[in-house]
Amino acid sequence: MTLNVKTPHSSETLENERTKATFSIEEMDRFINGDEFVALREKLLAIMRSEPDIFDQKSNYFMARTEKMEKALKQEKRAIELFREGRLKFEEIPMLFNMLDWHSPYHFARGIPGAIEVQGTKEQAEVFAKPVRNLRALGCYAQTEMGHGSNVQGIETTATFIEETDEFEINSPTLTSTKWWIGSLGVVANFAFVMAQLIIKGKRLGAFPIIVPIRSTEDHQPLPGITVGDIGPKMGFPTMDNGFLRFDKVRVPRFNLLQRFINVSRNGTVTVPSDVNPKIVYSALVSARAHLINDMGIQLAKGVTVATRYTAIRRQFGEPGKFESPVLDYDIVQYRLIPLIAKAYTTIGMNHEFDRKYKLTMEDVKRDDFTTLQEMHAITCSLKKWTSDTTVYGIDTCRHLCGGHGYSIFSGLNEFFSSTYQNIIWEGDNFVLAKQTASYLVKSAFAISRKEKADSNDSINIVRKFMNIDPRIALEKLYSWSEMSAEQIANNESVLLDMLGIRLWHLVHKLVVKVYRDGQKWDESSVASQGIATAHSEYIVCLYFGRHINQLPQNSNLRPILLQLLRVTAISGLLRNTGDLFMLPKKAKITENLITGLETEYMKAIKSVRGQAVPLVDALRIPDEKLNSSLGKYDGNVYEDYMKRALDEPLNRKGSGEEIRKRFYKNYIERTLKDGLDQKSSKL
Amino acid sequence: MDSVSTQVTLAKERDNATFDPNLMDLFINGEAWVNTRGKAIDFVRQESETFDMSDIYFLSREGELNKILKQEKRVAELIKQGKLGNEDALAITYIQDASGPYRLHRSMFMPTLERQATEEQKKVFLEKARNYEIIGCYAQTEMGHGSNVRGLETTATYIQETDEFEVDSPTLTSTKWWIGGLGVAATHACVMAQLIIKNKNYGVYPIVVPIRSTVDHKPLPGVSVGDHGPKMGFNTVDNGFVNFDKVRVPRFNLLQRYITVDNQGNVTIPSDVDPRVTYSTMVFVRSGIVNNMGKELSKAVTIAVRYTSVRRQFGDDPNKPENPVLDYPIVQYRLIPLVAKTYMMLGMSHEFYANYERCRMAIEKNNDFSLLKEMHAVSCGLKKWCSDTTIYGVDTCRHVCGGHGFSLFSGLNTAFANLYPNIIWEGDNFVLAQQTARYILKVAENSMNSSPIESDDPTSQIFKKFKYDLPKRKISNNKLWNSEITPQTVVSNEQLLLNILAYKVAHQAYTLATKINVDKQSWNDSLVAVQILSTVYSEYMLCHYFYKHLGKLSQFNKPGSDKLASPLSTLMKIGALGFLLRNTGELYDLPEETGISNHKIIDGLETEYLNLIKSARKIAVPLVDALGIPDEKLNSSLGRYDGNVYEDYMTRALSEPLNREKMGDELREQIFKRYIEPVTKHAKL
Repeated sequence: MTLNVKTPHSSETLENERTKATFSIEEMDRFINGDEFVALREKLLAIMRSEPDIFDQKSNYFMARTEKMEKALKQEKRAIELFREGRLKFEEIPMLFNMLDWHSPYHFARGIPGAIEVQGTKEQAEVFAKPVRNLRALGCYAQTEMGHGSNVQGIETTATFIEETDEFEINSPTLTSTKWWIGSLGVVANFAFVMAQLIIKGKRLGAFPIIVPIRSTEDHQPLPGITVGDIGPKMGFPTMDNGFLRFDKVRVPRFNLLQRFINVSRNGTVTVPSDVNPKIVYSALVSARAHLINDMGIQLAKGVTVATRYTAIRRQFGEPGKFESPVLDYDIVQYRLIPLIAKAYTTIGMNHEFDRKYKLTMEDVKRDDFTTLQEMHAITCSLKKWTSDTTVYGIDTCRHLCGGHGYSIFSGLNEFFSSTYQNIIWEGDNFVLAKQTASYLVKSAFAISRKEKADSNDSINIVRKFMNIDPRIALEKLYSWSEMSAEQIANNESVLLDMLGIRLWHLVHKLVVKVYRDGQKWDESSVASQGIATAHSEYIVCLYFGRHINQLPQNSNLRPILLQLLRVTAISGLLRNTGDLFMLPKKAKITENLITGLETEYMKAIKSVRGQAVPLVDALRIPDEKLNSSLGKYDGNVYEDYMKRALDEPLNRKGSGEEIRKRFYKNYIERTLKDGLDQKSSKL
Repeated sequence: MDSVSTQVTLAKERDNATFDPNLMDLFINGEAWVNTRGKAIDFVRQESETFDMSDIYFLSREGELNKILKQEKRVAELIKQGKLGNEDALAITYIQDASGPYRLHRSMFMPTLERQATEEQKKVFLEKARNYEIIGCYAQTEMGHGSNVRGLETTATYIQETDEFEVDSPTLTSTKWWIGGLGVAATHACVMAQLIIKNKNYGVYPIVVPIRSTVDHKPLPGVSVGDHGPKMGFNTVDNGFVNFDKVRVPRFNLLQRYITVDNQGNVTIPSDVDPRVTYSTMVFVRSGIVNNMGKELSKAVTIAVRYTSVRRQFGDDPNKPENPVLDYPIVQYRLIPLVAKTYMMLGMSHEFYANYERCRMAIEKNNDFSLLKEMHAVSCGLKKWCSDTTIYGVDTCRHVCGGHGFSLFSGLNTAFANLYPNIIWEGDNFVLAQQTARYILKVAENSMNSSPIESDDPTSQIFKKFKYDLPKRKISNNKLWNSEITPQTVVSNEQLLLNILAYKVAHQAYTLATKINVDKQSWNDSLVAVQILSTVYSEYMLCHYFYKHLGKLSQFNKPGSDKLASPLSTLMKIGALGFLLRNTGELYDLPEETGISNHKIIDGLETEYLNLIKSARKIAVPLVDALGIPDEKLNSSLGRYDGNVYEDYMTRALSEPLNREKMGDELREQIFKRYIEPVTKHAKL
């Protein structure tokens, strides 16, 4: 019986785990998160900790939606004061809210200046964007409609040119044309960046952006012809005022149509400027996805921090006469959790290389050079899918690993899961994005097979390599694993990259055959596209993460564990659907034995990381403020904190809680217990 | 661009029906449930003032509890008057799509008394419980202890001087936690505690402890009790904590059917009691989950299928309406197999339940436990499979609804959050898979040792059919299949599909058993294979029981019933083929002589699979209509029967508190004055 054994306190267990670290936590933090990020994080935490009455988040879990919204607005107000005092930069405010682990209702308003600068002329940027940069005007991005999402050309809102008055008339002709989901619209914004069908002289010209004032700058009341409101509660994002918006023939000056890509003259003549390339708009989509990819690593880091610390101290079963074992000691727990730690590191680590490439592409675009944009588009599509899928379902696994207590709001993982979820849907649904990446790879591979021109970059070169046409390499060299044991392969990241590469090539090759030989329609290829996009991102994240690790000196004490994490990510990808490996050509010598061997090596690699699990999540340095979790607290005082939070539940509070309970009892419970009874019975 | 109204689109989809949805409902849900469900629907519609749930999405936790308690009070009242039974109460909970604080009183407190109390104790506790004179909860898990019941820390120590037990919580981690009904409602708790008599620990037993006064409902002396705060879902239930500071209760309160303690502290364990009885309780609870999951996934697929049929996006011709998103292969690929799995779970549950009943009767009537082990293995495996499939199926349904799936008005978010604990409670799914696999490996091992397999349960049948040649390490049957293997023969023959699925189970079980027994691979190194084995086995069992239920169609003598066979067979094939192709690595892994493990067949099966899915697309709306989920349970703008999706969505949005007249105006005014105006004022435009 375990009853008589005094189990060590959870904080003691956690301290013990920390003594096992084989590397410096500080160095790891700086290397994986980057110096710039570390400095910003510390600056923001100092602000939050110095003003707890505004920034303390512990009580949020008991608040109604409008209370949460109000609290976030209060925090935003303070942030703007700090911004005006010069203590915070405009672009630092989102990270402040990231550390607070929710969103400001101004979040989407902050994206508006950028959108105006892409679509508008210099003059328009000066008039419309600048006030928002100073947070003197608040905009929102009104594209999606109740009945229309991904297909921008299908939107119904119209902007009709009225030559008599030199105005546009904005109108919502149907119920389904109501603008919907618009962030920062429900209560905040006073103007909207509206995507509308441009109609001039009876001719439809497609969807274009136009600036429409929606609330009075005096008293914030909706302007005439405007119907606006909040769309109601959602799965997550409680602080965000996603809203709806309808226009009843609202007039705005012609100047409000953003005219960088289209000019409308006084008499309604439409011209398209010859000096701008419409691909710039396309680069805006790439930017939005790149930001999302940037954000995913830190979110998954929160999930694994909570789950790792908690499973390290939670005890269950064990040998008689001993303490129960920490659940993290069970293989099935490690099997689910350790690869997520590896993927959190991979996502954050690869992002440095990704961000570098992304910035180079954006520089090129500014110089009107669009050669690298296509691959960047393919990469952002597949990485957006992979990082968001991995993060959202990774957080879900972390919650499940925490057992019953994962289900409590105080785990910190539930509202968090809900508010991270939409990343798989917005900025292009993940299932739709996969087709874009697959199409780029398949078309390029087909071109190569016909000896036509194709791009030369990380994505295409690996496919080209295994097509092995020109130059042709000897097979034993091409198949770098062919003379190796599973153990040797599992410990060699460059061979693992090759294996991820041949698998990608083969999936692409199969679809090339189906599309170009068998005439399968692209639409019918959407199922096969999913596997291609995933295989592509698994190759790219490992390639990029490897490059980042290679910046470390050979003798760095960070290297061994980081390489091990990279290998775990790589093997996890390889074994995701072993059918993809079995299917490879026989000459590649990826045999059943080898696959089974890799499965064994995978488990070995996972187990080898177990000892470093707590130091690894410590080094990600997610502060207790962002965790907002009883289970993941740095000091390991899990159960004490949990009890304290439970006692703070409104139903339990002195006074107010007693009132509620008394009401429940009098109105319902007492009636259940006593109605229809003769007085004498029942006294237990 | 023309558009077509959502109502018209949905009505057109209904014209595609090749069968009578009402008849299908009767066959797949069963007449008994269709009747009970109908009665519950009538009831909540008649008393809509109390039972309408459309405003639930705006309520605070306190508001939710208040609403559900009002409903609980009404239902309890009618139960007392004999106008509703426990079955009806369950059906009402189902239609309302929300559980209340009395749920555990019905589902755990009373059943525990029924099974573990003596007749005398039943008179005192159970009768009052049935009459709602006391409200109970079942207090097992503690803050620091879940799955390992033997690790519980709460003690019940016998005090001979006063002939009482002293119930005590010695540590913080021993605080009872997660106890449904405890937070605000319960008067009594059935507490699982370490029984200590004369310094000897007898293990964990149930004891009834009064926790709140029956006069004023205040906590009794020594009892600290409360609600443990908000959760991911289930916020209409008052899961609570309780801590005992040396609370005394009479010796009588220890439930004594399986242990007797006299006033000298002598303990006797009745000899006619088989310890496996407690084990059968777990089987009972898990079977309940297995039987419920199909009914829950029904809600999600109904919403997703109806909404994706009316939601339009992109199209080839700018002069025509955009295409319904359900016309896109990638949407069908994610959604149609879930419709198939819903049907399979519903059909399976009839046969599975019948088997469970057979097992229970054998125990109760003849003290015959021979069927229990297999029942236990199947119930663990299916509990895992059905709950995983349902919870992540609901998630997929939410995702195929696109952005609007993220709105609470989709009805899918509360469903996902409320169903989620099914993958954790009553045995975490990962732990249960190990129990299932252990049993299958045992049967495989017996078969390898040529011990005769006497039982004739579905598991034994697999290993009787496929024998193993240990030296050659492969299944030894000369002729495996009755027909040639081509993609077409496989998809046109349900029996063949079943055989292949069974073969896969046997192959994986024998291979793993050999690795463990002969090659001495450790259990820890086998854990991944163990999870897969449990899945493959559950997939087979699901198909086996569903196919058995399809066999009943010939006796289902109702006009039009012949039209049901074809869609049901398509659904079964989609389900079974989906299982074969889940990870094609498992197929490639089969020996060559099966004729299946080659590219040509596997590629061919993938094509057939997509074709079957496409063929079911046409009848998707009638298929979900036939599941018979009323709008009340859907509580969804997107899934409404009449297809008035966007109108309903707008109506609900307008009743968001921030938009309401007066109250909303004041809220917004306050926000503007306090936060927006001070920031934007002095605009230097």
